[in-house]
Amino acid sequence: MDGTSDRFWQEKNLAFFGAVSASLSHEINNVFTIINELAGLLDDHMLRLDQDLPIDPKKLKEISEKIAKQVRRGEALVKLLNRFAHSADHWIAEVGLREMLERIVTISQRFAMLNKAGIQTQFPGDELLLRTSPFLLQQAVFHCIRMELAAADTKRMITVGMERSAGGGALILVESADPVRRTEERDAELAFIARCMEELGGTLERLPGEETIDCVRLGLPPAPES
Amino acid sequence: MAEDKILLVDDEVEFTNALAERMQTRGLEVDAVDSGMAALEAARGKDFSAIILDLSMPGMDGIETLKRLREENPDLQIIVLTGRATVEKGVEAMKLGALDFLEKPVDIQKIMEKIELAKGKKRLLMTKRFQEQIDNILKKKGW
Repeated sequence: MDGTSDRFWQEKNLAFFGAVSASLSHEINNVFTIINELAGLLDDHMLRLDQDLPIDPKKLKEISEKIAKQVRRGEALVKLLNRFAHSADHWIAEVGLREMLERIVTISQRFAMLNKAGIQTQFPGDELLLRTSPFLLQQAVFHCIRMELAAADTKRMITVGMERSAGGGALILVESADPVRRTEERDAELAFIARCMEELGGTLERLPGEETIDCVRLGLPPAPES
Repeated sequence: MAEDKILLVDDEVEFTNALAERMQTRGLEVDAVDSGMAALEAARGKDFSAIILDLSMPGMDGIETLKRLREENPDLQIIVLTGRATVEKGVEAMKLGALDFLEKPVDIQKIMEKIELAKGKKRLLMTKRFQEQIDNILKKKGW
């Protein structure tokens, strides 16, 4: 890689890491905000005791259950952020493809929700193990999803799937229920995804025609024999 | 006397439910909606003393909602309450006529202070509008 290329990847990698960290930390802040209000609500009820007013134990139980639910939501988000951060530990590593795709789909759900869209997964069969760059592969899939989301009308559904390819590698499919019209911006996104796949020794295939993008297929080579 | 009406606009329903209950305990009448479009609809039907508005929402975001609410009624007092409180967003919201810009999580006391401020500002604007109407009538009659 020359200096320009290094700078290109540094910027892209940082932008991806930043977008995901900002989104997840925003979600975690939402959890704290809800817990803050629920704790305040508990305080309000306890103040009634000072005024010799009756309090409803059912109401207190309901609030404490809501706090517990938010704590669980917060824990899941922290774990997600932690696993995502650790995916940058080793540039090349053994990757469980299903687990990685589930992670990047969960991360992308907030982006989908803001676009009033949804993401579903189709992972038939067993886990596929690959030796690849988890950080770069996540980035390629994330960009595929965002490209589909940027075109999303309300209630668009995006499907992320995976299957074993004939040569022993893997295929990742990112598909929209409705065809996505090609634009200059989306073509630039596709060019970047193609560059990611090239770095990964894989392929990118866009289906089907000149004017629309119905499905993006990312092909990954098999793990080398150890 | 009628209670002061407040509109909460936020897609985190658990948050608006809890905050609405706390505000009701403090003597306010509270409506809550989960989108910018619903906020526009609600603001057309009722006279709110203040609107508390989130920025990050599905569909129409908070900045666009703020802009459209103020276009439809420039007297609306809108307090932005967001988890994405950057200086740039704050400046943008204030330029669009927000009364204040608060960062989540926030103390209820602070929100109540801002609502008092909104009520005061709204009273002033109403007095001003009333005075303008009186002046116009007097002018028409040549008094």
